[in-house]
Amino acid sequence: MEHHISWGIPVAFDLFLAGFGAGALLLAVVADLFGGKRYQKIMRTGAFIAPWPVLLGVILLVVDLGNPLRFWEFLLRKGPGILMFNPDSVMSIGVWLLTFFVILSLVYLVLCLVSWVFAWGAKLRQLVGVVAFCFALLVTVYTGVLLAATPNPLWNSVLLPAVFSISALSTGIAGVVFVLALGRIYKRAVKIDPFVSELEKINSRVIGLLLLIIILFVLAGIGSAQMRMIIGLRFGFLWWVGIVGLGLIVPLLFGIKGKANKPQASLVVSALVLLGGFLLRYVILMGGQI
Amino acid sequence: MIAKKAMLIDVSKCIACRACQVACKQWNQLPAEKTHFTGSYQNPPRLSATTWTLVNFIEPEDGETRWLFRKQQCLHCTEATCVLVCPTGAAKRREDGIVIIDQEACTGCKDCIESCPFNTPQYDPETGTVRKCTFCLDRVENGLEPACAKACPTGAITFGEREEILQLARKRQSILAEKNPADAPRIYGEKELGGLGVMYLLPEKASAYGLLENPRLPIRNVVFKWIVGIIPAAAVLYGIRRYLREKKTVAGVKSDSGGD
Repeated sequence: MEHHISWGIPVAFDLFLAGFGAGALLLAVVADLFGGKRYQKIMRTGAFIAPWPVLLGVILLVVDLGNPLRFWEFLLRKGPGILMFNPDSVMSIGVWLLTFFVILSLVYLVLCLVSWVFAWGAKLRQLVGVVAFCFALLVTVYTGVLLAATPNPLWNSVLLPAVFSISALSTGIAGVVFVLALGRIYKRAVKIDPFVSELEKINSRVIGLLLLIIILFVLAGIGSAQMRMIIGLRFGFLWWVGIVGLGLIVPLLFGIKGKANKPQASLVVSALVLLGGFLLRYVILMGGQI
Repeated sequence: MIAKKAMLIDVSKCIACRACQVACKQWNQLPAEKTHFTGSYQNPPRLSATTWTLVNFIEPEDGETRWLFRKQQCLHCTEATCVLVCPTGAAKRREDGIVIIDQEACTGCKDCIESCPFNTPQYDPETGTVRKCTFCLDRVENGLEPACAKACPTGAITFGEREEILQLARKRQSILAEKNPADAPRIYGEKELGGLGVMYLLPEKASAYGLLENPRLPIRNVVFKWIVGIIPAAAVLYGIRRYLREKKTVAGVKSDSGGD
């Protein structure tokens, strides 16, 4: 039966941007708590990135609503001062996760800057970081659960939330690499920072796991015509070349040894991870609605 | 306790005259649609924001030339997925079992469209909201039956209190079973999703009418899905933690010895 597209490109961007920002924050907080001085730059870069993609994604979602000016219906019940929350609704949970994430990640960013400039507030920064970490972890899973909670045969998979959460981590790490590589290019440096190649090595492992989960996701869903369509003729080029080839295999091989590369190479490969992360969501979102 | 309302659609009595479709449009002041011939008499081809009920013309591909008719509409589920997934509370189920979408509160997020196991709710770009059958709430509240039931010339659509409608369905089921004892028709919706507000009497398999044989709540495993999503992500983050700690220690030792 013909099916109209309910959730189009703005939603695909949101699924990607929410995961990207949350992934960057998760990396930042891990570097903050366990990395010590050596990884402060990763913490600051992750914290600097985190809020903006998620905020942009939320704005896209609101603009994409049939009635954007009614966005407050998600937050407030009719009648003053009573908050709207429907615990059965994955979207309602998601609205609150995104709201708290944006606020907490902005506070975390401010505290990162404060503790950098004035050398105080590190404890408070870490405390906020831990809370933001919990929300970020749930945000990375939320986008997958939203789709997995529908009867759509392509989306209704227990593996889809894992596909999106691991992809979110890999895009978050890639985003940090991208910004650090850009900084090195700006400074006309020949080699990337050593800790950036460590991130690329980590991401190579994360992407290896992602590839494995995606293979399981495809095999488990191969019975549905939509799954065969996304890996077949209709979306095959985007799937095999864009997502699997450029988005997964290339960065997997690039970072496998963790040797220091030229910043230009790191920039391109991290951009491929981000592109692959977006295409993954786009193809799964569209493939479920055609 | 308010008595639940229900509708029985006896497909064996339906002649596909589409009086119900027209009556629905007239009572609810829904405009006609420009359609085109799709190779079937089913018209318009699908439900829409302005077509809340539609007689499906199904031609089974079993060698025999025949038609199956099913009046498609919102089934007013007791366990209504739209009500569960609605993030603003616009979709709600009344005490009398009627499921409505509050047009003043609907934001047009379309989660109900993607989640309904029967593909019922439809997006209206004119209003920016999702719309569907209201069981002619304004008629029912005034003691009238829905417009489609009123218009049906063959008695294929009956409306009333759920218990009475169920009795009627059982009676009709036994009459049809006498004619064809091997194959008693199924009362679809008696138990499905906590009991549907619209029940069908189906002489053939539910799937032949485009219905799910065993409709289930799509959100039923949702907690499990959260957990399966969280575990590998948490494991990866733990791995990153270990890696950074190790590197930090190694680097720390190096810089210490370098300082000596």
